[in-house]
Amino acid sequence: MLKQKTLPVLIWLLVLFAGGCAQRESDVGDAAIPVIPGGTEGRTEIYATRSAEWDTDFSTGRGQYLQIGQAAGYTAVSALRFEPSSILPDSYAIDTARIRFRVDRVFPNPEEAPDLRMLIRKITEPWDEDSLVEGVLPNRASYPVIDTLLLPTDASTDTANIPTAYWMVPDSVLNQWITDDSTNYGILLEPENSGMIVGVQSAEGATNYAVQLELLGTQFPESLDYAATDWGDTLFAMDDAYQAVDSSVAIPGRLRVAQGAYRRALMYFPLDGVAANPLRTVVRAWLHVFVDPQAANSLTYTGSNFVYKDGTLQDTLWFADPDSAKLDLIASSSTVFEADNIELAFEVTNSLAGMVGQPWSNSGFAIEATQESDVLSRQYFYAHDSEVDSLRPRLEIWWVEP
Amino acid sequence: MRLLILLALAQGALAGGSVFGPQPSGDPLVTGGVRSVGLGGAGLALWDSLGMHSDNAAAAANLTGTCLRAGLFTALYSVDDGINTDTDSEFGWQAFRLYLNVHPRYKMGIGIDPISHTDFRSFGNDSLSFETDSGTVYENFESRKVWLGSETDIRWDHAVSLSRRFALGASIAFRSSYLEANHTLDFPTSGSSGGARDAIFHDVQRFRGFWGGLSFLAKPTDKLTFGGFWQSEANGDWDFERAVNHGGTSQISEPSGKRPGGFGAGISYRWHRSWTAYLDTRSQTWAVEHYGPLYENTLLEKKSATSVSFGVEKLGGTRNTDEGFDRWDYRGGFAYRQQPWQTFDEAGKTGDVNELALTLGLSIPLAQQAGKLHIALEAGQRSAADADVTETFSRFYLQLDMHERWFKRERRTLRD
Repeated sequence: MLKQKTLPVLIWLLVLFAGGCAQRESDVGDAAIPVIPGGTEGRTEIYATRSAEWDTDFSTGRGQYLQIGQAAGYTAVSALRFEPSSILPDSYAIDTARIRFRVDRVFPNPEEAPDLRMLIRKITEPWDEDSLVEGVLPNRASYPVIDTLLLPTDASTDTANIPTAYWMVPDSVLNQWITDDSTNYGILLEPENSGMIVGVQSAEGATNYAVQLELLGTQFPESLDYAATDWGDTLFAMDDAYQAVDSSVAIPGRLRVAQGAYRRALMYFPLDGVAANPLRTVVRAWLHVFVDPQAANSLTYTGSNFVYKDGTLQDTLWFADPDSAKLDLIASSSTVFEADNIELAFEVTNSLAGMVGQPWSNSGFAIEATQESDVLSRQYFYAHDSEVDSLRPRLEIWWVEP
Repeated sequence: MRLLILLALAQGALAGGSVFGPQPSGDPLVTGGVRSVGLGGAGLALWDSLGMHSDNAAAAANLTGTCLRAGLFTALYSVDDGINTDTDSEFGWQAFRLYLNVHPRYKMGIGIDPISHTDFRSFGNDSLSFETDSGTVYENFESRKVWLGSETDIRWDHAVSLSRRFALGASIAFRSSYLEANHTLDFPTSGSSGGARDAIFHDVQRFRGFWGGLSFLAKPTDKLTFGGFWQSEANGDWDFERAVNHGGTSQISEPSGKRPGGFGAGISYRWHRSWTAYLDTRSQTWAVEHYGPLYENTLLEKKSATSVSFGVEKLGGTRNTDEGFDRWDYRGGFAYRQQPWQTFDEAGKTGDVNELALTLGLSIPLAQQAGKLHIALEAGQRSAADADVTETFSRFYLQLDMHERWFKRERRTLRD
């Protein structure tokens, strides 16, 4: 029970409490206040003053897809290595050993693509899928050719009935695989004709599409009532990855960004004009880049994503130290590129807000494919020294300042 | 104890003050003590040993012992701008003083006085416009503004009795002023303006300086008393800092900063043993240089603040036969104040703000003559006619003057 003298005080406080908690729902009277901390807004466009392509081999061809073919300046080969000894019974006789290929993608023009004539070579030097970058397998051309195989390319239009091709593994090759021979380096799938790139799925892909080794034969159990039974099993590759060689040429005033071949575009924007007023703060910002769809060797893969990264350059003079661009990559935003897109706009608000407030942290931007180990494609973006001023990379900044 | 706990809890919950708080002077508090508040702010000519007007340093000359003063207040504000109304409330401290009876002819006081304060916040909807290649684009946001601040004097007062009817006072004070203005542009997370980055502006201005003052209290007759004070301009430093939320800052320091001085004079007339009337007037001139860096380029002009206060008091009896309510002091008062504020009308012209207030007060003697509890209630209205803004307010004050008994030991030590 509250004492009598406390109750009136409590009631008084509750009244004040209710008043104090009431939020002002409008600017009652504040229009008359001589100092209203407001702000002025503005929009600034800044064009890139430096840009460059960047081709690196720090990522491998390991991924969901194996790619074989030649088109638009790309040559793609794929390597496979099986180790079937782990699935073999104690006593067996193999009647059939074959590798199943199911074509999942054909590009760039699947309707017009010829069937892929594929050379199958025996790899004679060590590799693994975690390190299969562009410079690995340097003696590829000297590997002995074991066989050829014709892969149909009508798969992309007939998803209900997946065309399948089998390559019968010769005994000489199979024996090397099943005996755990230390020189089992697998096989290399190489295109013999051009005009298409065929994608098949790897062991990391969908099971129903993945390349697999199928073994069929007889097993002989070790028991007194000796009786032979049919036996069969399937196996995915221990190592499988593709290797892409980009032989396209650089075009002055353009920046190549590639998917599947790790080619990125770097660009730098001077922010001095925005950062000159330290009280200016960014409300919104976009990075605009423009594609040249007419550039030779453009290879569009509809649906591929691009991403921008900030904090890319340790040294904004990256031309002297290109490896600096490997560090501090921060993916912030991505957008989907469609075949009829000309302009890509990345919202870079948060990245740029930090750069404006701390100009020393302006390390430029990188544009790259979101999935760099995905289907091979290549776009040419207008560079800072493009002949068309309006198509140069630019930052659009909406800012306010007190 | 329960009362203190409730007050402490309420302090955390109460937020918001006068709409005029963001003015350069803040919202000035009625200084001098709660007894003076009950007299409408008058009382510079108070000739008393307890509850004296603390703006008049010479008034301490009549102290007969050591005195500790502490006060607080709560306030309720309601503002109307012709379209909307709003009510808010606040809680604050009033004063803290310690007076020492150093010598029968010399008294000294130290204390902290809140001079003004600012606590105002508002929000509304606003938009930014950006001219783009495809036309004007508007970014809508919620505008949140918060002003907070206070101005405080740390005083060192001296009172010297030159005769039984005349005393002089001198004051030295350190004045500290703090005012911050925050503006948040809070963009929505969805919709057409979704995803824009919130912007936060944060302005802070500080003033630190010193001022000096002289005062007097004269009683030429048994019924008539005069009192007055003069305060010099405070000279010191302005520091101004402006920041935005991405870390950029701008700092300005002005070593030749000033805050305004002022003067006041009062007269009292006691026509009965228990009845006394008081009449005071004050004046202060706010020049542009007094406003501070935050108010540069705001078109504010030189402004004079004047006030006239009138109060009547009935003192309680002190005879042994007086009991209960007969021992209480009762008072009432009236004040007219032209505040040093300037408001803008729709055409951008500045106008005056006038204030009228009625006050009531009482003082309750504590047991065993330990001191007095002063209570005052002030209700008034501020009108900025040019800007069509009217604010009514009511403030409730409490102040405790504790007298000598608790400080005998200190007094003895000082006399050793």
